[in-house]
Amino acid sequence: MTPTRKNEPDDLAAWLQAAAADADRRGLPELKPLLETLGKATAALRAADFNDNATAPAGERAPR
Amino acid sequence: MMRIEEFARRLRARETTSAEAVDSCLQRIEDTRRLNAFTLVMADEARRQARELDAELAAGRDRGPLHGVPMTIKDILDIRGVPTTAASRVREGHVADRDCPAVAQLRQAGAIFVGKTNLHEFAFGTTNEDSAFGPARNPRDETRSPGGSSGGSGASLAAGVGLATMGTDTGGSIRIPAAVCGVVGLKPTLGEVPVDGVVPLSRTMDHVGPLANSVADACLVYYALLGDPRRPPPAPVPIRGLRLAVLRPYFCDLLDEEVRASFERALDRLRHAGARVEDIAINHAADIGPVYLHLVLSDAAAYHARTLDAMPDRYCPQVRLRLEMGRYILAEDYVRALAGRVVLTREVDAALVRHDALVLPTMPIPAPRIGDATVEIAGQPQPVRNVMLRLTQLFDVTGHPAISIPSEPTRSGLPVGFQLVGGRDQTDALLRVALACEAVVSR
Repeated sequence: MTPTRKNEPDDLAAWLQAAAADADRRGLPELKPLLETLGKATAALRAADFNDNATAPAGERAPR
Repeated sequence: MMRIEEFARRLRARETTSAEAVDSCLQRIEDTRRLNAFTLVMADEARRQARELDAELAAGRDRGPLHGVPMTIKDILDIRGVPTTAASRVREGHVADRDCPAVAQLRQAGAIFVGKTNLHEFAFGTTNEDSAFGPARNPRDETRSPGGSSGGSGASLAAGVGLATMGTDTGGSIRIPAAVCGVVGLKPTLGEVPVDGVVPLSRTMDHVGPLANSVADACLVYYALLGDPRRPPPAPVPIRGLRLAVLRPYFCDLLDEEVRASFERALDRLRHAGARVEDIAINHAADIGPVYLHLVLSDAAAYHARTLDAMPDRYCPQVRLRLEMGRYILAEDYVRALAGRVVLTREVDAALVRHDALVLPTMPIPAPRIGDATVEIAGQPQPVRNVMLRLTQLFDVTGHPAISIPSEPTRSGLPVGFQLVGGRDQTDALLRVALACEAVVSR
């Protein structure tokens, strides 16, 4: 599948489309509803305010 | 249920023997076979261990409180000479060539292993329904799940087989079965008990710990796991003045009404006994599920990648699909989840600065019926798996120690769990708080 490159809703839709097509290709169509659930969780994760933003001040670095 | 301390007293008073205790366990396993709690019964080996340990005691060698105590072990931990199936056909033919460190410590402490317990395949589920051995059943109501993934452990202990059992916890798999089977379940601090020789679900979040019939029994097993098998349970902290923080927003938003009532009555009892109970919030609580999901799916998919390709049909279908889901997570999202993990850990640390423990229900619902994919809460259907993990998974992400103790059951007698959470690397302090709360909440 082709990875997406931006963090916008369109990119998640493209990711889901690519993932679903890949699941079909691999003979796993029953995976598609789970991928939709995962897509919602990924959207929530990307919307969290703890995410890095390259346009923001560097600030201090927390250990990870 | 007999407690370990009571058994130890009777053993040393020569009122019983380990051999008798093992025979009684083996008979109980036969009597409760319909629970499907075991993947392997180790009758001959357990009887041999019992004879040796009885002889040792007669000769004056006393290993401490676990000497001659029959236990069961989740079939995901290695016991030398027997298979570690992880309840999966993927592992057919595997036999462990040594004890994992946790089992080795228990063996050294004198514990006797009577059998290996059923689980959700590869510990990747909360109901124990997906297992190569078939579902385990809850002894409190056999139409219901014993929880998971350590479902056979919870079911066997609640059915009176053995005096303690071992589980693993990556999203709640010790505390969930403990809650729905009506026993105590302890998840120590992340990294405290070695996970070597334990089939991984998530190498970054797996914990090993005991299920027991009381907090004191959990202490004894926990100390043995740390290599200190003679240490007695600590004294409980004074309940008067104990500072407890109730996690309200998010954690109490989605609760079955009977679970809510049980939890509130437990808080009332604690207040009445002199504890200081206040409500607090955890920032970013709504992000817990997404953070957990991206971590556990990625970790599990990495471990299973080769066998998913080589022998996909050997997995239970639902477990296979969830593992496959992890293969679609992008690296950048895994990194976001790691960032979220740091933030959530800080939040829980901050909540504990002015409190002795955080408290919340262990599970939003009582044991679900076997086969149900959804459960109704406040008139709305909710996915069983998400609901079951909702209140436990945070502390696998952050690594804080957590324990589930029984609180008042539902009107129909289904067990309900009350969860306490302590500071990282302060499991012993949490146990002292839990001993105090157990006397009030679980009586």
